[in-house]
Amino acid sequence: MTRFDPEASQSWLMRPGREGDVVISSRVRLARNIAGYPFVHRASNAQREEIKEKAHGSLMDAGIIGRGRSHLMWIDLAALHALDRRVLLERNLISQQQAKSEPWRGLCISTPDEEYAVMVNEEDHLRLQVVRPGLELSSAFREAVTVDDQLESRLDYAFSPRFGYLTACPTNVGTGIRVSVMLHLPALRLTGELDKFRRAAKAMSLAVRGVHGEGSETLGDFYQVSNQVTLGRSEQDILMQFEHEILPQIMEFERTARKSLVSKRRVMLEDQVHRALGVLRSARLMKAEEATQLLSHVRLGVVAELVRGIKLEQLTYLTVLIQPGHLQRLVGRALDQAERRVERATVLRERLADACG
Amino acid sequence: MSMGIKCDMCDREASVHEVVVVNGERRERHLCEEHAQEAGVLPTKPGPDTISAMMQKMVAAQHLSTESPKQAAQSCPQCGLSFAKFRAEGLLGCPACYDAFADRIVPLLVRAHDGGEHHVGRVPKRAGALVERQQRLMALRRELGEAVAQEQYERAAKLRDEIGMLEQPNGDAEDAGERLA
Ligand SMILES: [Zn+2]
Ligand SMILES: [Zn+2]
Repeated sequence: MTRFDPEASQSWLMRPGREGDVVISSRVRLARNIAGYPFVHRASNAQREEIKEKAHGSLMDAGIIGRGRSHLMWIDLAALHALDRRVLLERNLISQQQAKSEPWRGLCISTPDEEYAVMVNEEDHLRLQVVRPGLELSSAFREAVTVDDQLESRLDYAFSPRFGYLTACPTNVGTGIRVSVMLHLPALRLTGELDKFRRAAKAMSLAVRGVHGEGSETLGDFYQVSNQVTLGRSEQDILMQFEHEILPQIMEFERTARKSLVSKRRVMLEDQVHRALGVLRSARLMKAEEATQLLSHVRLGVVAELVRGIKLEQLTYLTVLIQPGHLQRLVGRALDQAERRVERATVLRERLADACG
Repeated sequence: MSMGIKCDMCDREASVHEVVVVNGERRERHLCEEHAQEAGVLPTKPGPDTISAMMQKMVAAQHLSTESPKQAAQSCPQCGLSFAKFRAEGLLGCPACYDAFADRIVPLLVRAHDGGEHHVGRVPKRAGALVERQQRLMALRRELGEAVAQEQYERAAKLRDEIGMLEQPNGDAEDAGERLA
């Protein structure tokens, strides 16, 4: 059975990023379908296998990436250990749908950086994504286009001059592009100004989604912003909107709110940050939701220079490492929920040992 | 994929099958979706995807307002998907569905894409040749119409030749584009 070793990788998750105090990651995803086949949900299993083989062959074709990357890894998802599929999901390298074990689901990722991933036979035949730490939308887009061009020279894409790249869901048709950024906006929530940001995003037809736990409340003040319009607006237009309109605005809002917290509500902020660090460094049982929220407070503490000895990228990686799949992979055996809480607390204590207030 | 094996924890059919090695001992695990989620092997259910949910709501609203039963029963000649099924699931069946259901899909696209109804942006190179050729053909045919109307027969003959050349199926790069149509 294929294995995927999370700790052996040097994922982008562990690298610092530009504007990393607010922008955690940048992601560009392109949806593509191969001409001459039904979309995945309507294709026969034989057709899905054919699509997988075509995609596999084109992706592994020499030179498709090879620019300083160590190598490409092809994964037949059904042949992968179920726990490793969960690990890939927790790293956002596959979707919920793709984490199922049907034999025709495939994945191609670049290792060890994991910046580049192509899901084969998800909702569309190909879902190509490039993700980078911090604000790196333009370079992520350039990379995605390079790969797209390479694939296009080997595959016939389903395309119409009128509707653009044809996708299974009409919400993706046109450019097939989904640009998204993961933002950390703790000060905007604390100062009650999140609505300002939501309004600005809505006026630009951008979707804002919180990161949710089991309940409906947003966890850890992490928000994902992505474009909804894919038809009638070019890729460049959408990128410009992110890089020159919404992101400068939101970074400014958040940074201003942080400054005002530090100057006007310093004790409250210090209390929240140190309390969070204290719990993370001494708890013996920890739920994922609680840990995410506490790590968010510590993150704000690092940015506000109230906490030393830990870097933002380490905190980013920790939010992934405390997920169930990663914890079980880390100890090398199946853990039930109670055992996971113990293990999660242990991992956090160990990895935050050097952090101090 | 049905293997008919029951979940280790309950009577439902298992959908996750794995081999776990604990202390050198090989153990098989079979879990239903719910128990696999509980064991942390399968991810827990996601919230509704806001975008697809939005699309479904729109499709449903349109259904109430304008659609006749005959329209709902209409299906795509290429893949056989009925519009009713698209409405229920929110996914089209094949690339040809876009043209087959164009009259009802375009209003949806306009709403979902903030007024956008025509593609702007990247074009695959091979399809690019196709787009350019189609536009060129359209322009030549318009010119031909004018030439005939103005009784410029020599010019019309030249235009007919040019159109004939463009329509040749055995061009090189352009031929590859043809198959995309
Ligand atoms: Zn069960
Ligand atoms: Zn169809």
